Amino acid sequence: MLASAASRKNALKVVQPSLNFVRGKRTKSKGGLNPQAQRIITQLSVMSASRKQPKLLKLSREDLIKHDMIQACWAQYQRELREKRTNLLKLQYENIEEAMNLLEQVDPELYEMANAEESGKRVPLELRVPTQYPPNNVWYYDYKKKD
Amino acid sequence: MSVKAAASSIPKAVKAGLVLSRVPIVTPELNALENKYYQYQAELERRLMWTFPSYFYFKKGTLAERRFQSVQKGVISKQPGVWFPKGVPDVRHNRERSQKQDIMLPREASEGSNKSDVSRPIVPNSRTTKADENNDITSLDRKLDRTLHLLVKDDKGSWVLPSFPVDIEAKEGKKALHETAEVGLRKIGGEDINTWTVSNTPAGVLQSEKDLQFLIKSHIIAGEFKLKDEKSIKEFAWLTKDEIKKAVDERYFNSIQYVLAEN
Amino acid sequence: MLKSLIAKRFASGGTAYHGVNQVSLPKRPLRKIRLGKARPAIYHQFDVQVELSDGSVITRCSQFPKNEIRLIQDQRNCPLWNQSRDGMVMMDANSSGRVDKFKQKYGSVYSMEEQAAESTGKKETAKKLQETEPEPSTDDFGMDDYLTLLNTNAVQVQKGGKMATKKKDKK
Repeated sequence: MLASAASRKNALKVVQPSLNFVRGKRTKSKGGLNPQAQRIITQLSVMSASRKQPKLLKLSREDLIKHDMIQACWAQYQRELREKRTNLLKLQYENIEEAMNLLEQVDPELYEMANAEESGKRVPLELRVPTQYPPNNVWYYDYKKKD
Repeated sequence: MSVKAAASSIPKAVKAGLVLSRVPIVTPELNALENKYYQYQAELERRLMWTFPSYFYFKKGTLAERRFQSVQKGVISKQPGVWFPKGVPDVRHNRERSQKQDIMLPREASEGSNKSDVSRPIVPNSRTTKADENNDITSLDRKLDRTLHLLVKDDKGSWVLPSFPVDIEAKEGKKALHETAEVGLRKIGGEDINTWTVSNTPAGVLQSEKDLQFLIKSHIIAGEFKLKDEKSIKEFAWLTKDEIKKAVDERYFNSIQYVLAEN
Repeated sequence: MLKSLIAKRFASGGTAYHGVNQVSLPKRPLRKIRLGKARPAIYHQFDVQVELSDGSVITRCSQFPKNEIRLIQDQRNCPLWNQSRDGMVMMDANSSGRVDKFKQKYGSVYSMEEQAAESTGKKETAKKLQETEPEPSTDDFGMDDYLTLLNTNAVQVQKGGKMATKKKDKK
């Protein structure tokens, strides 16, 4: 050991080493891919869905029954609403039919006018879709008649 | 069948009734069931949402990214030799995968409530208005989530839909029902009103001993109903279907209830 | 580059992409999604409060990380959608925004029209001296107006303080 150290010392004196080990850029990655491809794969994996997806819901038996109950309740509520609406539409139609039949007997001329074709009639643009909170000026009162 | 029976004793006079309504301005109030169900569904969806890709919206090293990161609550990551009562954390992309991700957004709006400042915080207006508090039934900005219908008080003192006699004896230039209704409305309510008649076809009929009243549906778009004809009409009111039920007698309500909007 | 690369990769089922950089990714075996195991993409969404120009507020969902959006020009103040209302004016989307504030502050320096207006104002003295010269009007400051500056007796307009000028090397 000592001898080898001494010999190396001698050698150093003689050769004056110019070797200088500096860690540079890694040119070969672990998977044997070139770094550019490796970078792209890393980026793809960052964006992939599987890394962003949360865990699956694992409902216990009781929770599952609860969930099914909620959904069934909602379905029934919707069905009731739908039936109510259909029924109302039917009654409204019958009302119209009754009115038109009467009108035909009372005054055929008015009936013709009431039954006239109205193709191309549009809902005015100013009838708005309801919003969650009202506007600052709820109603426009200052309307002046236009010709 | 009933129509045929009625035809034998058809009364002479024809009237054009008007169902003038104001459509709702705000969305309907949710009932308890709807409220709970929507909350449940929203929570389920939030739990199943993917992780928010903050690297997509905030570039690394920018001020916006730093501001965003500073308001986030951190996640608990897995440590060796530590017992986690709520299960071992499974963190990916800064998100605990077994829970919903709560993302805080930094406040961008300036604090001042200056009206001209575009970046002031949004403060929604109240869904109930002053007219609701005063119960001003002649005002159009009440009951914003319901449809309002125009009712007038006739000379007998009962609330009815406004109606106008049709001249069926006229030889030429006979006016259709909807035209009679539109002209009549402007006669009693002033010219400064913008309405849209849904159809020429009557939506219903009210039968009485003296006359037949055909109901025309119409919507008010702008303007105001100002009482002009004080002689025949004492008062007017904008009422919802529920209020109409209380105001008019039962037989009258039953005959018009399908023409009125539910909410 | 990346986007097109992904598209290519998915479209061609993992075949090599020979683009500008000649990167070829190794083929991967496709993962089989068993029946009933497919999961829909539920992107993260925020609840956004949107204030329309007339002050009404709606709530909607958006993937963009923002809580509040204020619209300046929409159907609530557009003359086309409000035919019964008088005095509807088209609002400038940039009014009272950051760009507008900047323009108010530094408009004379950076905007073309104002610069032209200011220069004509300062040219008043020069105008008296050379009345025969056609002066550029502020309204139609076109390409031809620059030609007047090329005339023989055009006077350079001094704006602001003295500018530092590069001195010639004396050799």
